[in-house]
Amino acid sequence: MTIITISRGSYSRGKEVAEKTAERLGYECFSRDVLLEASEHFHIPEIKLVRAIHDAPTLLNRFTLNRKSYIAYIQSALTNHVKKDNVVYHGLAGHVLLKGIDHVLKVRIIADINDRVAQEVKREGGTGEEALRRLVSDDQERRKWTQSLYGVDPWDPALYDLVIHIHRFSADDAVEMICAAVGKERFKATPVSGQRMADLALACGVKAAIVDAFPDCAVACEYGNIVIYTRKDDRHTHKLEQRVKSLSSELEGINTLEVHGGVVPPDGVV
Amino acid sequence: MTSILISSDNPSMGKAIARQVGEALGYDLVGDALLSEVVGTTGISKRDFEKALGLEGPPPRPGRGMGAGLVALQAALTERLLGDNLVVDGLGAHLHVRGVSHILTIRILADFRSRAHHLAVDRKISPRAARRLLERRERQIQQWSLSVFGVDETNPSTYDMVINLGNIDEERAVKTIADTAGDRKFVSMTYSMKCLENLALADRVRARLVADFPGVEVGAEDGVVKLLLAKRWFGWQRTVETLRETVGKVPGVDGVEIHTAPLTKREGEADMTGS
Repeated sequence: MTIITISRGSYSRGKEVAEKTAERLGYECFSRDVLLEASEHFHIPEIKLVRAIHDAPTLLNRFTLNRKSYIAYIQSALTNHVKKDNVVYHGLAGHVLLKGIDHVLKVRIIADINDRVAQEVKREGGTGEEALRRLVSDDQERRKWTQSLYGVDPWDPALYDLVIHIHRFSADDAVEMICAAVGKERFKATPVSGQRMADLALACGVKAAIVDAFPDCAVACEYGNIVIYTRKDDRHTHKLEQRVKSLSSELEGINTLEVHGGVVPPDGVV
Repeated sequence: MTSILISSDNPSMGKAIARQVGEALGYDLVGDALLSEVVGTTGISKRDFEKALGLEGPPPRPGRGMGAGLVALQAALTERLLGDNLVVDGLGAHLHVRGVSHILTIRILADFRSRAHHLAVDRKISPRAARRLLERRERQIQQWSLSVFGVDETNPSTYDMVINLGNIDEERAVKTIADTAGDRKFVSMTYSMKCLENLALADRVRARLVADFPGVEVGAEDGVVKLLLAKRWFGWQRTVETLRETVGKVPGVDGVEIHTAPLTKREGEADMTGS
């Protein structure tokens, strides 16, 4: 019972590695499905979600409500999807969206820039220089997105358990290494890590339900007990409490719900 | 027949992994012993070498004396790598030996939080201060590796594989590296050995020249050594003769080519008319 996230750049063959790994282990492989689920569940066009997670935010729209909401929806759909375990996710930012879950194996696949340029030219045409420019720009967009939202650099190898350079290694070699790593007890879901995953999914579900009206709140969950933190004043807290009352009936698995107003949220909340 | 270069952001952890990989594969370990040999021949202290390799304290700016030490270490290292079936622990080998297809380069990362915790306890500072200190050190190492070797040590593309020991235990890491080293694509071939021989020859020549001609860039191909000098200076003809004579005596050198380039030009743009 393991979750594997594969972070990749364009033309890094990460998708191929993800699909082959899933096939070998008999796991479910998904990426875009999360966007479709979020789109369906929250009634947001998929293209808006794609833009929210692909384009790096400009200074003006970095903190817009829509972007925050869309990311909350995507995170909710993702955590809901992966909580059943035995999945390989190769979409954007799995390693940050599933932070703090012990049985997640976080893998980064990188490829030689010359190989990537050759692939881009083959697919999109144009010169090598143009292809290189497009790839660098795409990489920077993705990098800026993760940095601005989560304060981490996706190129930092310390974020991952395993970084595999597809150049001298083939995609099959990478699959072999991932399957070997995932076989260890360390990445098997335990009752504690499973509960933490369920709590994260629930916290993300609550956040997605209230983010439109209360974008600055943060949600923590332990064993189904939800705590919502808000820095705002009493009037705001009262409104939030009113909204929260209805949540128990909307979402399954909630034991208790508390609102803490005027409090700085601790680390590790969503 | 392969060799494995292991480096780590936590040298003691890298050493432990390198030792275990060596034991698992029956390969010789190259590390402290080679450093001690070079310390003996150059007269530079081990502590200075460790500083120059970024193992202790802030990495220094490359100076002439330490440059000579590093060049001697690199020459000893590439000479040893010609023997194959080795595990090299640190020594900056991953930054120096590049483009040799039968050499596997591995980076081992220690868990950042646990490193910060140990540092905080050792130095009696707050965890936040320890984290900042580690981050600053990482930036220094990055600048140092770029300035001395032209390679970013913190960039994962520098390696074939990066293993984070935060979640993956040592035993699994050792097995992964040992299994990978057994792959046929890391078997030494005529071409890859030739690349290594060229590098070893260039290093031998560099080690011979560094004391008198520290600014000379050296390359080698099939026994022919190419020297690139930054500029022509007074007494050029005599310098050329001295260089030819000195380099000609280095074992393995069949010919010497001397090229010049203005200070602002890079190697690829050099005036290759020869002299």
